[in-house]
Amino acid sequence: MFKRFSSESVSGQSAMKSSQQRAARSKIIAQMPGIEAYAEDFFPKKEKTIMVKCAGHLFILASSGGTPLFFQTRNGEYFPTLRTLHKYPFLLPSLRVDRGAIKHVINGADIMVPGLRSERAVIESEVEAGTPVAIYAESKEHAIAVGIARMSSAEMRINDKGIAVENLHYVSDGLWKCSELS
Amino acid sequence: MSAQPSSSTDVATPSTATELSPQEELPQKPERDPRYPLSVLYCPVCTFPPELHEYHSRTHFEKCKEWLRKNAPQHFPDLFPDECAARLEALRLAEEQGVSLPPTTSDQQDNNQPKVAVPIEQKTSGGKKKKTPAHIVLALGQRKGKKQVTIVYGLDLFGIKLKDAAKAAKRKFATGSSITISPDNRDVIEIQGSRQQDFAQLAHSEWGVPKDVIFIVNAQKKKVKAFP
Ligand SMILES: [Zn+2]
Ligand SMILES: [Zn+2]
Repeated sequence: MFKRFSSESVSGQSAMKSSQQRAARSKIIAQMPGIEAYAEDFFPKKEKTIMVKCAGHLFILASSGGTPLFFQTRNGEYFPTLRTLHKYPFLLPSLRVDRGAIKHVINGADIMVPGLRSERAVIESEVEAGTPVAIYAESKEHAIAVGIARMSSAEMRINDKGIAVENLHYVSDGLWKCSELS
Repeated sequence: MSAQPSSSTDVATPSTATELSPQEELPQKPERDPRYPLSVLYCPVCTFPPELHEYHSRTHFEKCKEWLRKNAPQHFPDLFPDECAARLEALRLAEEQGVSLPPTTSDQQDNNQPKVAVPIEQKTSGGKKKKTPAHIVLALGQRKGKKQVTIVYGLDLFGIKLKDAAKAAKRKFATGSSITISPDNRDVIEIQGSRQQDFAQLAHSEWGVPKDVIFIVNAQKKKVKAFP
């Protein structure tokens, strides 16, 4: 989704109105309950969150300083950026792939069932299809990607093949490299 | 959709207020854990976290190397497998010949004192010496279906606190680790995943457990030396 993302992909940006900001805040809290205690970090009272509009019906919420915090897909769901997730690793349910999958995932490949069924992989959270998830890797501390589950964790355990998680944002993609939007 | 103001004044108790229990004072306000936000180290050369550098191309990696050497030495075994293998081989030879090697730059900070764990004497309540040999034994077990765990026996025999060991395993392997009780009623730690060889190395380097008392239970259920 962000493979070729750069500042060129931005089609417009504006400071959010306080009503928009409140709506985004409560939607994000509803979606990631653990974030509530830290909501001030993302929506400080005296600063305006910036809504960045990008090609492909994509929005990025950025701090007033231009740090991308969350992105929102076409269907309205919010995802933390990887840099946000590294600071607050409890925001998303997690799945841990085996070592062999790392190089593919950080090149943007979707997470395939075998990468989660190896004995060195761990399905750490129970998820339904359609849920935003964080992808971790065997013996690595930090998440390497975020994506959307394409099947439930129960199905990941019994299926032999197929896409388990669609990779939306990964370490090294355009959004990762864009630590500040100008 | 009422935005809850949550300034720090909520927490301060005015001196005139009647004493209330903390729960009554702060109705379901979620509490922050002071650990967050975590501060994560990224390589200033390429933006990757240090632990992912092994997936870089060799040429790119060369550029990051010096920064990594200074700032993330704990990732060396993954990042510099060749260098580390050479160093380990040199250590092994030195050990055989009974000489000590000069520490490498990255070893210096934590190697000021030689660390050697010695088994502590085990006494039964009657005061007699127990017959349990002072060994560290690493076995594999299964949890929740397919999930594999490494069970570490015998740390207590070397005076290593299980809590410290579980923490160290968590930190070094970035995986779950906890203190638990084995079926035969011994205090053990359990590490997620198959970590026998990794933990053997850790026990030796972190607490100076002699290599010849560390054992692994292999696939044939035989107890074999971790460092043959
Ligand atoms: Zn680097
Ligand atoms: Zn690099």
